[in-house]
Amino acid sequence: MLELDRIGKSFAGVAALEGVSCEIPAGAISGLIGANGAGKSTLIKVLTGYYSGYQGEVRLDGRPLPLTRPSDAKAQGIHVVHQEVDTSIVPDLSVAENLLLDDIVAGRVTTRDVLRSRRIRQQAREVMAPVGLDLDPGARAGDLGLHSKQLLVIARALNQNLRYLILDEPTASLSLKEVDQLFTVVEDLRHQGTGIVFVSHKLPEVMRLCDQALVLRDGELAGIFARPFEPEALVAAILGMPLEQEFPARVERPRSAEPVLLVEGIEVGTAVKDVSFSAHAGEVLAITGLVGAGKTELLRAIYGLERPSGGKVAFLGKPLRIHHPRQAISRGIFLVPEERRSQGLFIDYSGGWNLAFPSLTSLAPSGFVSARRERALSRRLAGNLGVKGPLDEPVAVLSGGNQQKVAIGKWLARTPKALLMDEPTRGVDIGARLDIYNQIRDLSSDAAVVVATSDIDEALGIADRIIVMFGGRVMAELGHREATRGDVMRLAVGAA
Amino acid sequence: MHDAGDVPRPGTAPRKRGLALGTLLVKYGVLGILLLLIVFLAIAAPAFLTFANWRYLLQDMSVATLVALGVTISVVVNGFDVSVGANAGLVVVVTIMSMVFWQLPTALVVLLAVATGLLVGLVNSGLVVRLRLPDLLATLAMLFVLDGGQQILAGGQTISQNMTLANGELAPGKIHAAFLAISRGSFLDVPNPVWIMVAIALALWLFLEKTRWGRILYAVGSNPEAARLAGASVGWYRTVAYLASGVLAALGGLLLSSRLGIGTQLAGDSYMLSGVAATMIGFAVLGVGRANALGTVVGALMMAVISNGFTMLNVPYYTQQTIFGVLTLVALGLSFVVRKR
Repeated sequence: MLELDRIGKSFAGVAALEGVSCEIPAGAISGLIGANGAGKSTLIKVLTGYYSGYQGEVRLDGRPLPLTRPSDAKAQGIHVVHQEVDTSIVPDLSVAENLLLDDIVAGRVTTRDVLRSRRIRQQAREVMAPVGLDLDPGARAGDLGLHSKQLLVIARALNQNLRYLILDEPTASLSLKEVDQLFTVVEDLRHQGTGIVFVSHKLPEVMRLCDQALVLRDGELAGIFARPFEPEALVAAILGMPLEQEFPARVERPRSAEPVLLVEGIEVGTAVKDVSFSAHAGEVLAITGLVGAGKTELLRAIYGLERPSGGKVAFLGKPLRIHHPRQAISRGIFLVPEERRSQGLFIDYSGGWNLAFPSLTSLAPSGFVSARRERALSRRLAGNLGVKGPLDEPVAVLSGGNQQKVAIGKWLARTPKALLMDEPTRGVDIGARLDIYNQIRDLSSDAAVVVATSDIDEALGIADRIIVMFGGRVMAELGHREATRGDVMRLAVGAA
Repeated sequence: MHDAGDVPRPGTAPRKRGLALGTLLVKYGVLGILLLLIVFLAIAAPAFLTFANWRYLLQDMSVATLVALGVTISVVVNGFDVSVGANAGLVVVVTIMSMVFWQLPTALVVLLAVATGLLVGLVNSGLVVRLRLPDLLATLAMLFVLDGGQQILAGGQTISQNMTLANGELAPGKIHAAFLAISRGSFLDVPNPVWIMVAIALALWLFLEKTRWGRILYAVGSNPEAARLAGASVGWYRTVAYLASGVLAALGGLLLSSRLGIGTQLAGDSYMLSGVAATMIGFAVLGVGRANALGTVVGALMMAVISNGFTMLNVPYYTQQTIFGVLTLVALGLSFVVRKR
């Protein structure tokens, strides 16, 4: 059993974590949940020896642990699979070398062994087997998919002494099938006595998998819950108050007669096949389906990022033939991309800088940017979306939800005619999510809003119409009244 | 609307206002060292802090500053142009040859210098932006091409007025007084190169910091994918940066050529490293943390102050290099180590 006794950690006098005491039993799965910025990451870092100093004490089976270096944690059998799993992998080394990396570093596997590739391959296969991986040991690790990389890191930990495994939002970008596979592995580990900490924003997964749920709020432990979980109680603990609603109330609005976007038989390589739909002002259109169903490629093709191999797109009745986002933007078609840190934001620059970026032409008609107008604009946009946190510090310091609000908000100064949003609430906590849904609803009065989401409940909650994609094709188009969760789920996995 | 989730993260919010030592060091570490250096030299060498000496010092740093600004703009778009020194050297040879051999008028010589820089920038951008070669490798290869090229062009010899040609005759052209006046003349008792340096540095600073195009250059350097998704023509802006880098280096070469008055081989080579150093020191000036025109000028000034002041104190050049290296490490150390905390 891992005991946390009044754990605290402050930065520059601000407490990120304060007086957190709880138990993480072996042979059980503990969910760690909380809003962005609640202290989950800080707690994980304490447990994995990332900080050289913190308050309180961590005890393993009653024995106080030194946890001041990452190697301390590993020596005690505490391992972590980071959300950005790439940080734990050496991309240019082979699968086998990555699996046996610790052994190679420690000299247990010698250079001669590495050169004798048959032996190391055999060893690698043995290490992979417990997590159900069957990769070519010679393959380049950097070329693996996210799912395989996660399992590789788990296998590597298992190969050492794995006693406690921390999974940091492992399912954020996995397909349903991959989630099932991962859960099977995790349940096997629990069965063998490993203590698991499962960090997630997805309550259904926590409720399905975990034996207990630890809720953090504002750096403090807001509650410890045991099975059977009540979702309302978990949400109330996360937010500090009960959530009245998860999605904004529906308001019937007039829908534009002419479609803003009319897509006919569009094809993008092998990713999108013969997709047709229309999107109107006055409605939210959700495109849902599993990860890899072709949603992202579809949006990217409309935005001029991928060249369609067939079909056509019309915008307000005129053919839309573009090959660069700037042509989409000049028409009032904007994209909020899937990966906000790598695609949607300039992470080193301030929130204000990011919010102003698409509006530079209007802020600087002569070429010179007026600092006063820029500040006014970014304040207004931040206010509209409820961005909380400093606007003049790098946007990287904002929580995920606030970052996403900036990634969306930067387009709002330019009155979108069509807004394409790819996974707009990924990694965003429940409270900020509602802000974003409200914004989507408001925007859709005057613009066509197309939301691509692999979260079926989100599609059902916010859309007026839902398109379900599978394997690059449209399986069905449903109005929000006739769509049921079961139907959409079935269609999304390809069952007609 | 409740939003309990958006509590600012540690380290970002309620930050203590006022002059915390760390913030002070990050922002003013480099400037502080420069100031201390000037104060020390003023005391140790009475001739250091005089108008006549600073006239000379600033004139001396003008070439290095222009070349360094070339490096800076390439670094702004997250590229790296190390061909700037060789580029300046080529311009020295080309300008002198164009007068001594081809007898071009001064205006055309200046145009030729700029055109040379543009051409080098164009080739660099073609290699880096179009062919996607790694910037450091492509411009390093370019450095060798230009270094070799200027020697081939000049037949491996120093080009000068009244030099004897292979056929025994004297070279036909003269170095124009107007051309030499570019570097040797002065306005309001301040040498022309100082005016040129200040004007170009100020223009580049305004362009990079205050205009939307400068903003886009920084955006392209920070995250090209996000810049493209926000509508910026990333390739075009990167090309512009390499063209500007080429032209700035060529202007440095032009000043150097007019100061030297002869076509020495490889005259620009030493300006590459100093340009890179000035740019990197510039990162730390005022704690900006990115390449910027003002910082680069401060970096170049620091080098000029060290070389000028310690020469007065009869410190040999190799010791000056060591002093410069150590001070750079201290300055960068202050900024970056403190920032990491």
